[in-house]
Amino acid sequence: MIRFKTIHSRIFSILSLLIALSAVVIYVYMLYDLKTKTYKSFDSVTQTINNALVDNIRGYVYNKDTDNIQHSIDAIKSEYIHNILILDTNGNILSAQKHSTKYKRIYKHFKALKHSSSLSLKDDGRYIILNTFKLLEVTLGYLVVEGNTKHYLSELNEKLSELIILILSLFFIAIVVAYYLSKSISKPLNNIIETLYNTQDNELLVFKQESEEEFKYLTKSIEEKHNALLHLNAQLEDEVNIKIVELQNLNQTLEQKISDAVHDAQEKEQLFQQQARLAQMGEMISMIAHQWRQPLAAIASAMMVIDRNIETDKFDLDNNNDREKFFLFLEEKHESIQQNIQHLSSTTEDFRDFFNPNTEQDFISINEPVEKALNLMKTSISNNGIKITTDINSKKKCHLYQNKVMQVILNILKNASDALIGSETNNKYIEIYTYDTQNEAIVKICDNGIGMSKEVEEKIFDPYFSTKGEKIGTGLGLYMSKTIIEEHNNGKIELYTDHEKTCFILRFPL
Amino acid sequence: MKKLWLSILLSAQLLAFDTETAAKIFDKIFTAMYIQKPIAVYTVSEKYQDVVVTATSLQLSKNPKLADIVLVDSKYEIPKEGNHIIFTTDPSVFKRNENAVGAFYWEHGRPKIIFLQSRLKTKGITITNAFQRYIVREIP
Repeated sequence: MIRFKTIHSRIFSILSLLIALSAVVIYVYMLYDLKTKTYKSFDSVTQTINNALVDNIRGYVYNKDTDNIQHSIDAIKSEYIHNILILDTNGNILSAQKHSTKYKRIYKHFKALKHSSSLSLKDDGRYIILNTFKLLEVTLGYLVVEGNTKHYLSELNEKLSELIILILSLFFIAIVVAYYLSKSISKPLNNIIETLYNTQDNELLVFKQESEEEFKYLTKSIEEKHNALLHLNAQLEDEVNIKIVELQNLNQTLEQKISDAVHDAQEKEQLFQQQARLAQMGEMISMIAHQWRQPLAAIASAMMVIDRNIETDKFDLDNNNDREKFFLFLEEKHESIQQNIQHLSSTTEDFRDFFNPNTEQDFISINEPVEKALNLMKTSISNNGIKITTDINSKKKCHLYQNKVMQVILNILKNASDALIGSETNNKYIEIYTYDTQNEAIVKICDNGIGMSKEVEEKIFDPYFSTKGEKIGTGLGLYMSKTIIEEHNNGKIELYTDHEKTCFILRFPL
Repeated sequence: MKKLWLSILLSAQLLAFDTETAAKIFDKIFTAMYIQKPIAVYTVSEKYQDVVVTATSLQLSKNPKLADIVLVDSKYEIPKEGNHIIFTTDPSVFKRNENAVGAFYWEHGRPKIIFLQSRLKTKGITITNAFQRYIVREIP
């Protein structure tokens, strides 16, 4: 389908199409009219000559006055007549046009027409009329006139050529007129477009004066609307400027408010951390107490055995043999005490390390914080009849804040231990796994404690949410654990639970 | 060659007077003048004698006095005695001879059939309706 780009081309195309259609219709009509008129003219001339001959040379035919007959027919100079043949009643040729040599052919047609009901033979190629010279209804002779169809067709073609030239000329003129007409119709629109294009958004719009009422109304309307919009725009700009100033003022206040809010949030988080740390410190002290109880008892026991052996004079120091045994006994106990002191010292070191704030990440294996946490908790957990199973397989190192991760692991182990202590499960256990995937180092801690409901599962990482009761739990442990893993170590903490066990999975990017 | 053939053909045709055609014409003219048939026609012209003989309603008469019509081709053929009813093919005979009631001749290729009303009345001849249009009051 044709796509019009402009109104001008559209109007011009439509007008051209209409003109072309009109030209075709006019041509067809005029062609038909021309053919009819030309044929009528040809027919009329031929018939007139025919009738004139019939009226005026009957006497010559009756008297067979061939000279006068010949003279009469030779006097006919019409180009429409191709041949004339005069015959007597018996069909004998009396005369023919002198310049004609084709009377034999006409003679054949005469015979055919004489014996047919039609007295003429008219088609595209032939035009032959048979007429009879009569007087008192008595046949005197025959007249055969052959029209010059070639001349008729030649004249028709000539007129057709003239008609085509005329139609083409008119078509050309009409196309030119259509072009200028369409241009004149679209000109006011082009003027409007040009003025709109050349007028800046902030300028007053003034169109050229158009002569047509419709365009006058259109340009006036556009001018009014544009200028009203211009005015409105100026008003809006003023209002916007006022609003901008207001917003700037508000923004300054807002910045202060945000800064205050952030500061509050930071303080709150610090408070959370402090609270969690204090809670954990309490737990650590409890664990240290557990840890120290056994070596202190062992030291006390060793001291008591030494004291009793000295008081009871079990060894005779004057006897070389007993004195040697006593030294060996003292050495053994000394070593035992030394070992227990070393154990106490080690526990203290772990405790001190744990509470040391470390500001830089270590590039270590995830196994390290796991093992340290486990060392702190192991005795406490085991004393409660809980079996600990470890499967430490992580080989890769990652960047992490060791103490904070340890704090998380301790928290999870403590929760697991509490859950198992409170449960009636027979075969209580905690499983600890470390392993690597392609991109992560993973710690998985599972227990077969009391498990948790769906509602608890959804809220488990919320602050101040605890299932232990207000006296025991702060509700900050897992919230802080999540914060430590996700925000401080770029890791993830996930909870997996089913009817058999509950697992926490810690993922650290490698 | 063709022109020669045409000339020979035309010359041969010229030699023959079309007696049959003339007989039909005179038969029609004379039967317009007389109802009874055959109509006795006297003529000294051999050409017209053949015509009369050929015509179906005409009968050749040898005595002008007994003839209904005397057909003359020229003034020389007019019988010297008697008050005959003359029909001529010569316009001058029709003009001058008071007995000539009618004429048939060709004027520049056009046929002329004329009956003079006064002469018809004098001779007591009534022309049929079909020929009334040929009756004139005066000789043109």
